Amino acid sequence: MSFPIASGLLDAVVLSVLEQEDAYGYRITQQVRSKLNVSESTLYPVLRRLEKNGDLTVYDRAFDGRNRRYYAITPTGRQQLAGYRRDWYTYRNGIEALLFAGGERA
Amino acid sequence: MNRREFILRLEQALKDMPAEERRRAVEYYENYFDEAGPENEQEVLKALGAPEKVAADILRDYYENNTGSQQQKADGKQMHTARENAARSIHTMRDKFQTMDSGQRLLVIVLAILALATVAPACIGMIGGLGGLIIALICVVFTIFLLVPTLDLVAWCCAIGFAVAAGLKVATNPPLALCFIGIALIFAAVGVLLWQLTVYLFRITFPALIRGIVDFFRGILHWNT
Repeated sequence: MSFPIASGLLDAVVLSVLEQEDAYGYRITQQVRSKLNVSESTLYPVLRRLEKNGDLTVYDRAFDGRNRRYYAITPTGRQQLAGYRRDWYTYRNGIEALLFAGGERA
Repeated sequence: MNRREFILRLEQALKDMPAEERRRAVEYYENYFDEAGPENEQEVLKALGAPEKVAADILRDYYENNTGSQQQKADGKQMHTARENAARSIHTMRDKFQTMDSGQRLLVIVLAILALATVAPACIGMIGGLGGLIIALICVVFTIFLLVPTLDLVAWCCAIGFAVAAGLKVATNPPLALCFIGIALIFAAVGVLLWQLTVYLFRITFPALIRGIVDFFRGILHWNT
């Protein structure tokens, strides 16, 4: 793709996925990859950073005789996500206004 | 390459990270293989690519994050960086401890206990003094919170008292009654002012105070995360 995905945008995407329900790393990756072309190793640093910032927490659940590490969004994370959404509208509207100034649409 | 090999190479590539960070990253990818299932192992390995590249992504994000916190220092949040530095030096200490043999570990533990025994009495004294100071502060704050409403109550009682007295005197001594009404109005004014102050104290200052205290203790609890 011509446009690399900025890390702030990945944060927003991951938070949105977790807003739906708690999920484990593999599942989050599958969900994001079903819509966006990101590599499988992109999300771990994002998850770890969000966890450190307090935007999400982790907990372990036993599954099939092993541990499954779930990620859950925190209230701070929800606030953060709301901010990302506002920023995204502004950003998208600005870009679209410039790109399609002539009224052309893809 | 198989899963085992991938994990080993990942661990090796992350060896300069704090042990805790490395452990978390390795656990994540162990988990990842578990979830994908053994039948998809080769596919996942292909998609992930070289473990050194995966490690490079983790390291880059980790160190970018730490530089980010140095910018916050410029914003005047020195507490934060000081806290992170402390956390980092604890990580390094933990790493060093893990690489020692059992004799060295024993020596470190004995030295630590001896140091603690020497410093402990001074620490207890300081903690005691600090505790006394905190209790005194709490008492002062609560006195203010109790004093203002009490004074307000007193002012209103005086106002009502003088109003009643004026009512009793109005027939026999009208000038005195007028004087009482004036005094009652003054007390009522003071009562209104004190009431405003009470509302301000309880609606604005009190929650802010509680929030401050809660943040303070939360800060202590999470200082090394």
